[in-house]
Amino acid sequence: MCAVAHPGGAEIGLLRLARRLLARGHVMTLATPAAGPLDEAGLPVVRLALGGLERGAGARAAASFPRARRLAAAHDLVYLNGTVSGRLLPGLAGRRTILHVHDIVDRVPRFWSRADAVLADSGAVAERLPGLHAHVVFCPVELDVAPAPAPWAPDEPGRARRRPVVGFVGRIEPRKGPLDLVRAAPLIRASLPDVRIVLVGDDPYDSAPDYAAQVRESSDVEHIPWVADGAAVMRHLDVLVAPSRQEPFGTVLAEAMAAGTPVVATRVGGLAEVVADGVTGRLVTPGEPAELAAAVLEVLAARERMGAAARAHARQFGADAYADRVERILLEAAVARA
Amino acid sequence: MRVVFDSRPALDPRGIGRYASCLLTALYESAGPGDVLVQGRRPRRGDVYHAPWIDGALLRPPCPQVVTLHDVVPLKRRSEYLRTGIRFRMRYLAVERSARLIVPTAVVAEEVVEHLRIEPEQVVVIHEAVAPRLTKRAPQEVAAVRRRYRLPEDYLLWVGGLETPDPRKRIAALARTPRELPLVLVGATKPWAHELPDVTLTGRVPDDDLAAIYTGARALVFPSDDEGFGLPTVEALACGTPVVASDIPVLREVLGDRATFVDGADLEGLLAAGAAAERPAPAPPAWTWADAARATWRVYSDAGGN
Repeated sequence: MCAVAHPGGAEIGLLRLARRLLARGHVMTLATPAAGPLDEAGLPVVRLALGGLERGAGARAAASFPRARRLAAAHDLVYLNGTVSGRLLPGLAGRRTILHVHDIVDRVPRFWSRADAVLADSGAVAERLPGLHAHVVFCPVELDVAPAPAPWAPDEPGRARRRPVVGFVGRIEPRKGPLDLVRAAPLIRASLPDVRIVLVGDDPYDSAPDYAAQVRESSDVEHIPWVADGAAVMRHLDVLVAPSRQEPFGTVLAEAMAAGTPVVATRVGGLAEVVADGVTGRLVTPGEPAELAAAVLEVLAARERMGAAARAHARQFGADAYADRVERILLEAAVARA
Repeated sequence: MRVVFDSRPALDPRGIGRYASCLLTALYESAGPGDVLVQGRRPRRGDVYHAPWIDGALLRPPCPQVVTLHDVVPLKRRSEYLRTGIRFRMRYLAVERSARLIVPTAVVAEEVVEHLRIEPEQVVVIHEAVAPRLTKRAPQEVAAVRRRYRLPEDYLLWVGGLETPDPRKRIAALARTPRELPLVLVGATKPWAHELPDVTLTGRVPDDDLAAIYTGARALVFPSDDEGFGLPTVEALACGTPVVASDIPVLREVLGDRATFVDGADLEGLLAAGAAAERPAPAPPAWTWADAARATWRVYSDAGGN
């Protein structure tokens, strides 16, 4: 069960899982609220409304309870991808259910405890789910990414060596903290004049136009519009920076490390669980440009060592390992005695 | 208001780097509507230019200039400092061409007025503060850091730059003084520091480790006979560690009665007082970098004539 028709991080993870479970012989039906790109995922699709994403819209999900029950009866297990899908839990009494929580939540509805198992994207997510004994499964990344050229202009010709590239990949919004990298840029450049600092991404929801404008108008960084395959960008970077103010997991970090690119991330939420501080990159305090700049310079100086460690460290976040973890939990939930 | 801030010293390992980086972060966070902070050393389109160190002061600033002067020790003790040539004099000439001069203590403010051609009204005292990460740490964290740096179980601590033997810090004399407890020195070193007798050197350490090293110390000993502010003393207090310092006016101003003061000539007495220091230490002054940043924005506004 999916709460949205357009794939975000949670849905991309679900598709990576579904592809592997299909290959392992499981039979699945995907329920989404409206037609969209998820319909092309190769799974049989049914429509199921869950109300809007906003808080308080959950009551409308009750209208879908009978249909959800019929669907559940035809399957051994219902996988509720995200807390919005979790609204169906009260209507699924007696059915086997898995609730996958992707976000760091502020409030835990009592009916979540009716799920047979709860999955969490990180320890930071699980910590906010007291009493639910959530399994931390992390988020899956594809370890083999098709190579693609860098989306930015090549270095000017005639250079003896390639300019080091520091990158941010993600939405240009305050929660992701790209402005902190913009503010650290002059400090990085003061020590390393030929460095390139690229920000790849947009603000697709136009949630903070002033903030995005500040980032875009800065002459301290190169701004590249959103690219379809962020993972393919990673191998062109010498360090990926994730200056988020809050983040349940940090898929970009796992993708960068899988490509052998060390990272600098803020010490918030799940990011600290993805990065081995001092080994695969550095963790820094959010909103501290000087600390961020110093960490970037430190990682660039140890790029080869940290890059190799990052690649090895990222294997645990690979989609195959993820599918192994989740499949075991699904099977246990499906056969557990009530 | 558009302020151009010379951020070059922000990555410096010494106190000047601490000042510039903490202030820069807090300035961004406390910027009012319409306030823009730009990092740079050439104020092209700025309303105000701020050099947080003397080396950034401009002789011909194109807009009102604010300079932070951390002390005037090189002017007071010329014979001990090598920078006394034409460049040295040009630097202070540039400082004198500031619309406002920020100093860390009232003691330095008085000295500035005495040694430089600048009006008292142009000198503003803004105290420094403790970096937010420097807090009291849990015993297991302290134990881990003690193992990592091979620190003694119980020790007296001194924190500061060890790249040059700065005479006013009196660290060589401190190292030679007999004592009951081992002495740990934290800060970036150059070879001369490794010749200091019977001390444990850690070199430069990350802030989390520094906080744990502060937390694990019996006391911070601070024998300086001259300081602009004495930031390690308030950092130690923030980590719950008592401070024993030489009795000089700047430290009296910064610490009030939060430290044990010992006559600066009596290094043995200083070390003995350190060994006898008892926890808990008094709380550090409540002043934060956010307070300092708000005060600094007010200085920009005055300098710009708004």
